[in-house]
Amino acid sequence: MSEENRERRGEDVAAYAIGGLEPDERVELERHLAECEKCRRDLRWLAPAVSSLGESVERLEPPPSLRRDLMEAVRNEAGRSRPAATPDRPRRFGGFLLRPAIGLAAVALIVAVGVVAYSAGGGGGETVTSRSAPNGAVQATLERTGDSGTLELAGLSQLPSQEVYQAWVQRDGRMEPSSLFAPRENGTASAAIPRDLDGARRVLVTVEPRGGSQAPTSPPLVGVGVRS
Amino acid sequence: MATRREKAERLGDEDLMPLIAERDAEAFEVFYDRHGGIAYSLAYRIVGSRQAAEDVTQEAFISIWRSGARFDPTRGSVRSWTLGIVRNRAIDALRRDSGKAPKLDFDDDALLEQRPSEVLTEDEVVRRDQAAGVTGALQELPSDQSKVIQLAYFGGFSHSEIAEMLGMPLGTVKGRMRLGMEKIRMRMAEGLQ
Repeated sequence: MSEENRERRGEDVAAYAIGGLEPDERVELERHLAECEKCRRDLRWLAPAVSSLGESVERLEPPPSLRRDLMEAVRNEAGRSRPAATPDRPRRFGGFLLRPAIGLAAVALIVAVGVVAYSAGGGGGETVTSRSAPNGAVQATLERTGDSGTLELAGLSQLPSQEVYQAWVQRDGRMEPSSLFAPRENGTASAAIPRDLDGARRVLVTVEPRGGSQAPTSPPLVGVGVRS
Repeated sequence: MATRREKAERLGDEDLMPLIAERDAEAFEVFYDRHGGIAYSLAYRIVGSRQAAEDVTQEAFISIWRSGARFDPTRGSVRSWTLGIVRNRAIDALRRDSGKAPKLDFDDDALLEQRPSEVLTEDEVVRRDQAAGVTGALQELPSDQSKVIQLAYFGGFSHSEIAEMLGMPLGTVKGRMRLGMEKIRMRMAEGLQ
């Protein structure tokens, strides 16, 4: 990289860190970041400075109603979705999942031991259902017909405008990018997997920067086995 | 015997996140008690009204509750991750409420006409800083660097929007952003902040 390009990248990284890039520039830089360790290092180095901007504001006391309403919503959801065995079981598994280097393998393992059900569909289609772990909040069903299929999801959160859900086809240890999608207001979504399911091991979903990625940049939220 | 809440209080932020991913409401309550105040303050700084700040903070924390497992410790602290989510939600709310298009085409006067009073213009950013007595790293910066950083971070403006707004070359804006951020970071590294 020339000195001029290096200088420009350094400026782009700083602008990116504080949310100052145009959307198309942001996508381009994120692609570059996926390949450039130096720029990733620069971004990590700047992160505390970005955080200090948020910390620099005048402190206000949030209204008690905010905490009350938030915790009421959270307790309602926790009551609906907490697994029966959760309270006393060891917590280390969740921490293990958060480590990116092994997160993907961990999710594959979790899904392999999770709730998986197969049922024959009409017209040569096949339905495979799997529930995510450890909290089971996101559910996914793959409706497969031949080499293509549709991933039906429920329990998805709404994402900020600069993020999008992306489907991936896992095959021979590789992750091949597939469709981008956004959830409906009720947290459901349908994602087309237009091809390449033959020989695939699993279909997974991650959160990616808007515009998608060529390789996953976050741990999978859910995965569905593809029956050969 | 310690309650679930007491156990959660003894944990660091990074150890709370797996519990939140497992839908532990007590862990989430501790998480909110640690970061809810600064989150609300940051949201207010950006959106400019208490009701909107409350909405943004609630949206952001519900989003975290529903996706706690997405925190990636290699990308920074829980605190900075949380503030990033709050900041992005607040900027989204600002744009939604002002009907801001992804890319603007305006001069200074048109900018003031196009945006409602709560949207942070250059003057508004400066005025709020003066009124609020913002402390910290930004105060140490030359005003030209501080201004472009605040317009981007608190106002949600891109560098090209800022260049148009301030009537200066794009490269100058980007250069000031970089210089300013590097100065803040260097001062932090030197332990002067």
